[in-house]
Amino acid sequence: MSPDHENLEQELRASLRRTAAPPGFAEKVLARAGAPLAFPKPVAGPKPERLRPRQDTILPHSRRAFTLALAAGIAVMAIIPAVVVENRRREEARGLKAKRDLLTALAITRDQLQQAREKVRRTTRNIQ
Amino acid sequence: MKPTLKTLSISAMALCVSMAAAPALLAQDFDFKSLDKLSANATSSTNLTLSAATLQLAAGFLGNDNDKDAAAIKNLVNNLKGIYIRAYEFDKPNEYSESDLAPLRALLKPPKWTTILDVRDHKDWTQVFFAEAENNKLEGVAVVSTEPTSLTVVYIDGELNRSDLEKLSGNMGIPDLKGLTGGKLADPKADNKTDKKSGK
Amino acid sequence: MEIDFAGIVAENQSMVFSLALRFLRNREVAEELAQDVFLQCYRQIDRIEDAAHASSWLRRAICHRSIDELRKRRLRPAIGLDDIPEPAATGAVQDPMLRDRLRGMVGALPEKARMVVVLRYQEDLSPTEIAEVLEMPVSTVKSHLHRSLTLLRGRLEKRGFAKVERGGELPVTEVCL
Repeated sequence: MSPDHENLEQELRASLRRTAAPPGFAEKVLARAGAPLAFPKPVAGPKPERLRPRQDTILPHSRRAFTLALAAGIAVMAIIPAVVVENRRREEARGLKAKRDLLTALAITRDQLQQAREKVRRTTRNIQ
Repeated sequence: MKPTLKTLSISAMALCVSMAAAPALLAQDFDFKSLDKLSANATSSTNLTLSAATLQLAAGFLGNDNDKDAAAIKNLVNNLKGIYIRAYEFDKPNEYSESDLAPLRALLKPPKWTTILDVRDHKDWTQVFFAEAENNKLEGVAVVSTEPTSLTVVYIDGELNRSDLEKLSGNMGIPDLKGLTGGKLADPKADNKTDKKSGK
Repeated sequence: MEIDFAGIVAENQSMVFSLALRFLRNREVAEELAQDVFLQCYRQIDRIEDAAHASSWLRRAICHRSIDELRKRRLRPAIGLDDIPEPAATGAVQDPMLRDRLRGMVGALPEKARMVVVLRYQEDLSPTEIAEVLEMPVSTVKSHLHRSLTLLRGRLEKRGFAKVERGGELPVTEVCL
């Protein structure tokens, strides 16, 4: 017995369903193109717990201020590595694109020089 | 079949003393962007303008110095100020004219430039030019190659050794062009139903 | 109108990569080619009118480039075995072996027929749309489809795959290609 026509078509649709592009594909393309990257989406994550004084105690002002400052400092410290990583990533993308462009330019130059030599050889042979 | 037209002239290497090391000014005198209009009729085009900063950036990503080829390429680009490439392919002749190249050819003349190679075969014409510096070095190399359905201009600005150029004419570990561009270059008419195949 | 290239990549990367992968059956080559096609698109971005136009352009470009690439490289697709495992399908997987085999068999079709089948069953294009993409007559597209389905059905029969329908039997025997 064999799959009837309709089932075969269904199975073909299932078999040939689109598969996801490899991870990082879009970034690689944009890096090679030197195109602007999409704005990074805000990272989803647990919202920082709002600092509130406990109802049964009232934090002294200085301690509260210190706690807030500490929280702000931690938030800044958390962002800096991400920014550094992002900048490094962009720099790497630019560098890889530059490398690719350079190799392309040198390949074209090499091919032109080789073709020029070949033309000379060919023409010299014809004359002889 | 014997060709109907054969013209060959190979100029001798210039023995004249070069001018005091003045930078090759082609990039300042000639606007490569003036060739960009040719891409409008091209079936494929390559347009590369690599500044000194870009070249240095690229060199940093070439690989470590233990790799001979990487080291050779780094050495080549070390003193370069720029590389300019304009390459176009057309699906039929007469999509560009000599007048498009006349301003460029007018600049590639003595005393700054020496024609090292000048080969004509049928309607193909290839010229290689050197801008000579002191100490047997070069301060610029230009290649202008025209065929009925293609046109390539290469200009390397900056100091390089003749031996570097020899190596470049060899391989130097540079990947085949197809490996870099995936085959034929871009087709600007991919969306035109009446034109040839897209993406080729 | 300014075209958002990053958006075009995000929107079409799966389509472009999949078309190349289904046709070439080589993940590395498919990824490289897919990247090249997007770069081609980027170089022509001023000619792209809108997102739909970009998708259409990309589809045509990857089809033609894939066919060219196959001719150049003379890839011999390994039937069914080299694929990196597919992401799990939603819902019950009816018969993963059958689907693997089918992918392999599609990969063994002649190049034009293969591309017709992939465009039909991956992209759900009509024969007329396929004819436009591949620049061939509609009758040729239909002929490729008909012959390919007949061929695939025959091959499946030979390899002992039982009739497959929802909730149907799994293959009793499996003959390796």
